[in-house]
Amino acid sequence: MSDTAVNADATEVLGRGDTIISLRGVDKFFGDFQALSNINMSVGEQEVVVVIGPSGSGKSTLIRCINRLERHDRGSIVVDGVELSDDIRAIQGIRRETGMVFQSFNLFPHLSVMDNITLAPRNVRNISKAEAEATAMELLERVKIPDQARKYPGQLSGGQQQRVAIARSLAMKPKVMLFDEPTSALDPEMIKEVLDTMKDLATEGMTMICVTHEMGFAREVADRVVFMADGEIVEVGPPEHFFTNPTEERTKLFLSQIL
Amino acid sequence: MTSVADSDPFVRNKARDAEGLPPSNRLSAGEWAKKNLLNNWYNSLITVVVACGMAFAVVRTLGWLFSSDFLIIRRNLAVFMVGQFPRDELWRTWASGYLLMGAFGVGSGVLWRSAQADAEEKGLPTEPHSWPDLLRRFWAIIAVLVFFVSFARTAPPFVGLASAFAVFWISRESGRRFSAAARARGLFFAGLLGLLSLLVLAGSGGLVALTVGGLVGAWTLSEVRRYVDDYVVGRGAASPEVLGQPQRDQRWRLPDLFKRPAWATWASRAAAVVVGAGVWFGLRAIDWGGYGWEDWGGLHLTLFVTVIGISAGLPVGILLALGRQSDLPVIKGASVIFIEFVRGVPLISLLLFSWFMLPLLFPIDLDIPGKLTRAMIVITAFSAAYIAEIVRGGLQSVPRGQVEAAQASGMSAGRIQRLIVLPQALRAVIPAMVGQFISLFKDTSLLAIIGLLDFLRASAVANAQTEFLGQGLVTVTYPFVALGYWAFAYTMSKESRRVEERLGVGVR
Amino acid sequence: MLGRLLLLVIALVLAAAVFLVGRYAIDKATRRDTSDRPPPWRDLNVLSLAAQVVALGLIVTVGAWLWSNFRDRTDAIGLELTFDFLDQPSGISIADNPLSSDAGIRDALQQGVKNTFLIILLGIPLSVLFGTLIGIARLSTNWLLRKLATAYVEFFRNIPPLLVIVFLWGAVFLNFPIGASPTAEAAWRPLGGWFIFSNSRFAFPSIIGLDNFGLYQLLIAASVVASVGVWVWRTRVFNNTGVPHRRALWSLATLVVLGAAFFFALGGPFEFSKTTVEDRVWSGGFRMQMPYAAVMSALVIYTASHISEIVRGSILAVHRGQVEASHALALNGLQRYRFVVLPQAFRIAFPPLINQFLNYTKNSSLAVAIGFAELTSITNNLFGNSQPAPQLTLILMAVYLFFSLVLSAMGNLVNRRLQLKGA
Repeated sequence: MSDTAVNADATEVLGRGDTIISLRGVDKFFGDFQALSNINMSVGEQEVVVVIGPSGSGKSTLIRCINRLERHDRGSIVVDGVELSDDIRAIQGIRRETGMVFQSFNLFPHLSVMDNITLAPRNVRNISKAEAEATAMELLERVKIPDQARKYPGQLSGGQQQRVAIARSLAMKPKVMLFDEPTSALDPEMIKEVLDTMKDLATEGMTMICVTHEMGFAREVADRVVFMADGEIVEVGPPEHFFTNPTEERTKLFLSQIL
Repeated sequence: MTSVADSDPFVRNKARDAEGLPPSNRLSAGEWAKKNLLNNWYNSLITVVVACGMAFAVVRTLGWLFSSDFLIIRRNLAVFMVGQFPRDELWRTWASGYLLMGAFGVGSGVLWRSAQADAEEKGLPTEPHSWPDLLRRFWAIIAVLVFFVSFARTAPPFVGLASAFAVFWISRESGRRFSAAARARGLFFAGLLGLLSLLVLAGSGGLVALTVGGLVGAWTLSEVRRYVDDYVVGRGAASPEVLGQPQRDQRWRLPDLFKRPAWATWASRAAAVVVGAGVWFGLRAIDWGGYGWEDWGGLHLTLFVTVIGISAGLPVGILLALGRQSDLPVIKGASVIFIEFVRGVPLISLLLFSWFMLPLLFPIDLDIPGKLTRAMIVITAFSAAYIAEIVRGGLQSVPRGQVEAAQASGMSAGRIQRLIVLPQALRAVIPAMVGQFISLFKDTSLLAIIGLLDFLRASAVANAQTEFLGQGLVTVTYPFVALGYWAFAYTMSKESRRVEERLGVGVR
Repeated sequence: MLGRLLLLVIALVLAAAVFLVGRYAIDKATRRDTSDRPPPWRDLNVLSLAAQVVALGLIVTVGAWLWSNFRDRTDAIGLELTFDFLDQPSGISIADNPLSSDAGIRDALQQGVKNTFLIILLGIPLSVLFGTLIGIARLSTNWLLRKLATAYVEFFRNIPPLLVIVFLWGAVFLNFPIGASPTAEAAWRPLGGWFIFSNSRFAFPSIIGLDNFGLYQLLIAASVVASVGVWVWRTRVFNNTGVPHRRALWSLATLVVLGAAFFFALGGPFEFSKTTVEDRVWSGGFRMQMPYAAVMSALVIYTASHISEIVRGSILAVHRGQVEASHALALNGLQRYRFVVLPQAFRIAFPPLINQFLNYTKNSSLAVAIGFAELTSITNNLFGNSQPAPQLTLILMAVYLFFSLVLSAMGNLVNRRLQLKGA
């Protein structure tokens, strides 16, 4: 497997289990602008996929399509055996099984940290308040801020907010975590704490798709790196191969600009 | 910097003033006058002209005050306050007033308590709520009420007003005893007192009794459920241990129906129905008598119509705002048409509509409701349209990411609106909502045009009495009325600015 | 009629439901691939369509119900739903207007619209002027002026406009000296009788054209063009040489000099006209009925208190950094306001100003309280003469809607041009 050549086909699963996400021929348009064209990609259980690429290349759109924050126009997206369609049961089902972390945290400012985390479990999974709060405390321990439970998002630093956001997603016990540039809005000294949290998650075997500009993270944690440009997947491969020996011109250019 | 500030002839700027102050920060009277009144030749000229004008106005006002005969107000004080409400039933208005003061007192006490807990939690400075502080905030209303009552010819109204303030203060103090956790109960209690005040006034007939019965029933329901939760299921006790700290923010809400033994749910529902029905029948049986709003008038009517207009308009307005933000063209279109139509025509044309047109829209075999009821229908629609636009502004101020984050966790559309979007949107528009309240309060004066005896028209009624006819006494009655409107509107607008400033330092 | 309509709607909805469910059932039974066609009760597209159909059905049903009630009631009282009544005599007489009471309703309504328009036409510019002055006074360095302006704003903002109108009318203007006498001898005539204030009319001087007045107007137009030319010339001089342009001064001087020169060259093409009163007939000059003056000035007083807040707020809202930046560029006080603060403040102030104009327009209907013959009060009188309410209500609302739409359309147009590029 380590032998896999770098190529544009992302359908071969590198994870330690069965395929959990698969995209086939996905197209997405914003008006006349084609944001995604013919995306084919699969992600296996417990696999960590890092998506990189210049801004406007469709990375965010790609993961936003996976949990239907954007509606894809063509092709099929299957998450955990459920095909994403206009069926609200499918949509809600997939959203329940996938957690998402946003660039701008998107914590609910009118709720305390505890209420932020327990809101969805209580309202979507119908878990009792006591149980939800117990889980929330565990998660806050895991992201190393158990003492902030009663505070409000506005009282926390950016890094702490993003860790709360991660805890909030984990509280739904998702099978897949989607990260949409989780460190881009952070001050440099806070990036590490968030990346450490994400590394821990990966080590524990969470399936993750991360859109990020943190090449160090990609190198260290990713099972596979996907490079996108102009709405297409240009090149795919294991990180050591990808960073040392890219084949495509666009990839080389991009890497030379950021490294 | 100082020289720049001084050379700036047009605009005073607070920050710059501060920079311009000498280190001592204290000016002698002479220095102050020189800086603020006589700092260059044209300002000195303005000062002289304005001072002369003001002196003239003060002399004329004093002359008016001492030369005018206030007999017309003394005779008609009741007309100004309660219109044509039957004079031998005035105790109802007083009793309802006490209950209302009690409701205000409990409500403001509870709100103060929870605001303080809130501020502590978020590490903000807490507000002082002392006598002098309240006087500074509400001096206009208090002064005007005392001024109004000073026209009474007998002592009882003085006693009445004083005891009303006393009731307010006592219930405020007891409202402050409610813990922050029990604040919803306290507000509920305040609401119940408010409804009771209506009951005393309007009697046990129909709607009011039903509402009181229903509310008491709902309260019973929630109490039974709380009991079941705390002592039978034992759920409420679990969480503090988990957190290792006392749980302070246990919000009052109708608990969800799924995790409780079925018998408890049904028992609590049955209890609520029984108690509610019992209250309703009891009230019907007692038969208080009373007078519906078609018989109300004066300042009382003006205030009442405003409160009803806003509280009935609020839910409709929120629905319209959500409708306008909807992705579904039919619902969006209908909301837009309604809102823009109502906002595009003057309130008078709507009131004329309610007077002449609305009767034609009721089924032919139905009695046409009274003029005030019809007016209330259009006033509700009117305030709903304006509130809708205010709420829309609030909805737009909630970042898109909030909805996306909620969607990503699989919440349903209804819950996203109810738990995420609306709480933030409504909080952001509180000041604008108070503004709308003031505006509606002023707009209710148009009821005078369709011949309802509101606060403004009381003046015309008094001037039409044979004793006062044709003497030009509007010069006395209109300023009196203006003072009443001003005191309420001014205090509310000051309060809304306060709220705005407080919200500004809030969590966001 | 209503019942049948309702049945039709229900039948259509049922048919659609049967079709969708049937299709799904057939798909299932024939084991076709249904992955892209979820069952209708879970399909987002179907659900959103269903919600709209239900909403539409509800609106239509309520509308039809109201309409049938309306028809029942109008039939019962024999009301005809046509606009033929517009040609009947109105039965109301309008003060200071040649219309007599047997002129048609159509004419009366037209006169009403005209009077409404007159309240707006004079009142809005006056409100802006007055409001701006007060707004600036609120920011003055003079403590006394500032407090006075604040007191004005805090008072008038917080009382109903209707109260201002009736007070000005009943307690102030009606107490003016009596004007309804043969020569209005009691009226107050300041400045040598050029102005007349009485409790029935106000009169101001106006301009009457004499010989060559048409020519003079043309020449004045030419002078305006010339002064614009001077403006452009001075601007060019300033741009090319940096010499201070003083273009406002220059073009104003051009206009005044040319206007005066033409005036004398043409031997006095116009004169000022003074109002005279003889036999209760007022003639000459510019005359206002007292109710008109009352409504207009009351609305100006009220609206100005709101506009002044907008003016003050938007001047303060221009970011402090902007003022500091212009200090850093060593612009002087006037230049700072002229080039930096005011242009930005105006952009901020414009949308709420338009809102105030709309409010002013709607508030003009309050004239009904003192019987000035604008649209609402004429309509109200016609209601009183038992003319058909539905049609009149329709006309009344349509006219105000029209005014509102035109004003806000104009406002939006200007606003779009005003907004900063890329902002």
